[in-house]
Amino acid sequence: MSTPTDITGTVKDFILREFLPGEDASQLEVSTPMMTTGILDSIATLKLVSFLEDTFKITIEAHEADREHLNTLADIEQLVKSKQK
Amino acid sequence: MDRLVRTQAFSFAVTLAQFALVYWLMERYNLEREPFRNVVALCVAGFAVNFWLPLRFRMWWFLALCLIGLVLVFGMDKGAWSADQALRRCGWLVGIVGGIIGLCALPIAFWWRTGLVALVCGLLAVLRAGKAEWLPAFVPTWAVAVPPEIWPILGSMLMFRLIVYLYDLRFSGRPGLAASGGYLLMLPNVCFPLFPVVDFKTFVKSQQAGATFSSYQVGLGWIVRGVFQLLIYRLAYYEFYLDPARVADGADVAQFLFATYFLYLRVSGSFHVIIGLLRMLGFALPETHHRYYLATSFTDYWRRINIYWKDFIMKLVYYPIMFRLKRAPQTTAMVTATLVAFFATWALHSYQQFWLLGKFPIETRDIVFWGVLALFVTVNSVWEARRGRKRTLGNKKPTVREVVIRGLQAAGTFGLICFLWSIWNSRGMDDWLAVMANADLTTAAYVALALLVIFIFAIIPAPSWLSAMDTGADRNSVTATPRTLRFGVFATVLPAVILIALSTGKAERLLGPQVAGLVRLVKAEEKPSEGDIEVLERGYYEELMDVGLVNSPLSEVFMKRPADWKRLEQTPALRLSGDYRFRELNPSTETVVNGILYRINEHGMRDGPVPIEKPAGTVRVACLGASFTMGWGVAAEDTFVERVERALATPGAPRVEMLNFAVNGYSPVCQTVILEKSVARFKPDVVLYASHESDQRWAVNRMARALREGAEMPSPDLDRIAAECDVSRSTSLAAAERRLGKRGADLVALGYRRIVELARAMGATPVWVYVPGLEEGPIAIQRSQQLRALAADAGMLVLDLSGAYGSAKPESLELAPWDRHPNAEGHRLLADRLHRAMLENETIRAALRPSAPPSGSDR
Repeated sequence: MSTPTDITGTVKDFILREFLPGEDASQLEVSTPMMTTGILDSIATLKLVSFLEDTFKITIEAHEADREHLNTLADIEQLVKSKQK
Repeated sequence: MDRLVRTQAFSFAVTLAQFALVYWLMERYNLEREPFRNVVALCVAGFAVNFWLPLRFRMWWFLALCLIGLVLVFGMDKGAWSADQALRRCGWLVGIVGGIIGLCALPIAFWWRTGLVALVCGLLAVLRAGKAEWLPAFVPTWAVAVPPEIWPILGSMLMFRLIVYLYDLRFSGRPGLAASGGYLLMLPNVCFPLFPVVDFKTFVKSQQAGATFSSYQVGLGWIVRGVFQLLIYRLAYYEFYLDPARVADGADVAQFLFATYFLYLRVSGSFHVIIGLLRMLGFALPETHHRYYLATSFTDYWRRINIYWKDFIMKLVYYPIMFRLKRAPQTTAMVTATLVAFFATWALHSYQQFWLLGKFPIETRDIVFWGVLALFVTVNSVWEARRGRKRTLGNKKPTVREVVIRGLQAAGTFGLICFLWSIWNSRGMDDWLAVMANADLTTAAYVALALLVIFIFAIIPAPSWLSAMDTGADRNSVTATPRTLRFGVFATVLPAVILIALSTGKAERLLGPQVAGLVRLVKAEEKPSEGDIEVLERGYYEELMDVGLVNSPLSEVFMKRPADWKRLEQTPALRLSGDYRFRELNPSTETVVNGILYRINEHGMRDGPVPIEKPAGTVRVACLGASFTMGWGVAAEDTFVERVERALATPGAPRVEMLNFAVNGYSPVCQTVILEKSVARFKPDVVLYASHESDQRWAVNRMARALREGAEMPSPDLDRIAAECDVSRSTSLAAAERRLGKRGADLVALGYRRIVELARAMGATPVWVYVPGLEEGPIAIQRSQQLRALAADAGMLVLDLSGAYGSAKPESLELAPWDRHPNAEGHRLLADRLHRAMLENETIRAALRPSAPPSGSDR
């Protein structure tokens, strides 16, 4: 099972690589909102969901693709952890 | 007092003072209507209590405010508050919503609960459609007595939020009563039939997070921004918006294109105000619109405009489809989900119109608008998925090239959206094409200028306080900090103080008459425009769903119309005439329409039995006219024609018969047909034509319709005008109206001259009577003066009833808010004025004596 730090780091790397190439990594903090600021639009959200499912071997439902679960790195970590239990 | 309490007290005092300032701003500009301003006052008081309440009591407090808001607004009846009305309307509304919440809370499986809710909603839909007779026998009779005036608000509260509520109920468990009631009865929905689709989960979570000083500051900033947008909307609507029927040249086309798009400011302005108020009551909800005029692509536009709607569709339609097609190729899944999402958006807009207006429209313009938008967004999405979209954390300065490209993209998107929006706002594709046929180089110049303005706005970086307002300022600031206070000054205090200062008499004097005029215009309480009044007056005649978007004051008027309200054309009282008039009253019929009896005699007149042979010693006045004269909406004995006949029947005076030949929608030329076909044999002594300010519009509309129907023209002059305007049977109605519109005065003059010829040929005195509409505004006065001049030129004796209604409020004389024809009291005032005018005129007095010689004009 991945540790919390692993989850955040892995997801952060993916987001920086896929959606924010060339951006300063230190600006993407665990509490940086991503869904409400347009970083994670619908297409990016679906790519992220596929990545999370493949990487952490979990299943994410359609109703979980929202601000509550995916807005920040902290939210994503919490979602992944809850799925891994 | 410890430091925390002192800091909180300071934050509270600052916010309350700002909120009071914002309330004052709304008062100064008469924002929305009085009931809404009462609700804002309630929100100010609600904030003052909510601020100090422990979190566990806040949802209950919000529910209490929602109920008080309902009582405040639903108690209003004809300008006064009535406890009976409040109790009746709120009882029904809260009972229905409470019943649905109860069904959702039943201890049975989710799908059973959903089925029961669907059944109740189905029964409500039957009632909303005015088809109570379709209800199954098990529904008790008292249940059909839902007051019609609550439908738009009840529909607005349930039509989308109930779907979200059920969806979240399925996945997130059972919510409490306070959250459920507060969500479905959400303040200030009672004042806004068009309301943002707030997400249930977001609603609950946003309150649980607790209100912060910065959240309140953002709320106040959004309210002021909303007020500003609503004021711009008023300017666009009353000053710049051009009805498609009035577009005559290239400059008009440009004006139509841009002003139409700016009408959306009413939606975005009111949504800003609504969410701002909810923030003041402790819900840290996200923004509803994000600088959509500067969108740089169609997908960007879809993300920025009505964000709550986008989120609703994503949650209920897009993501469920995408997740189902997870294993399909990405492009296939994306195209399918996007197209279905837009189809749902189109269908749900019609569904929304059903709950708000009682009709489910399926219109070409909607299909074109949503179809084209779906196509553009789909192509754009696939392109972005393949090529990637530039996203940023906001810490990098864009290059000059990037800025210029952004400006060009924004200008291009704005231009295309304006075109699409104009289609959606027109009364059909024919109408839109006819408008666009007037486009020329002037249109191109104006369009280029507008796009340049958008380009400039798009390349200028937004000031930091504006960005802070969008994103939520300093999110961690629970109490006042220098940063949030500075933000509050820029976003709320400064603009509010400037706007309030502008509204004072002194500022009006300082800034000159032109600015003063604009300020007066935006200060005026919202009411239907001149164009809307035309629609209201012809309300009985044409299908009123042509009001287009449900975001105008006009559409709100129609929301109150009972679903079973009928037009005369929908009843046997009218039949096809087979000639230029298109329709005529159906002889020897009795029909009850909207509770009024229309008894048509054997000669096709709304009158009692009349022998063709004129009795000896009797004077006959043949009354011609349209709906006002026929007496649409009032009993036959209450029409001004009948009242004048009774008033003239004084002892010793000769018997005067006022024969009512008027038919709704008849133009001056139609009157010439009825004069020849019906009136002549009754040998009238006076032919009294009751004119209305809409004479010219009807003259154009009737002729366009007659040409379209292939009817024979009653005069070769009309054939000539049709040929000169290049209008034939194959010309669309919209194009024919637009082309003939330029000759409207000629058509009226032709009709008037022919009335005079025919009247004199039958030995009668031709009299023109101007019957004013209930709202005698400057445009109506100008039109009446033009008509008066034409009547005098034609040789008619002129009587003008302007001012007949005295100081009575138009609302007290109208048939209904959605029908501006005079009621019985309005007819009484018209009759008094006409009776007096007839007796004061020597020529008419002479004509009313038996066997009086026909007279010429008495100008």
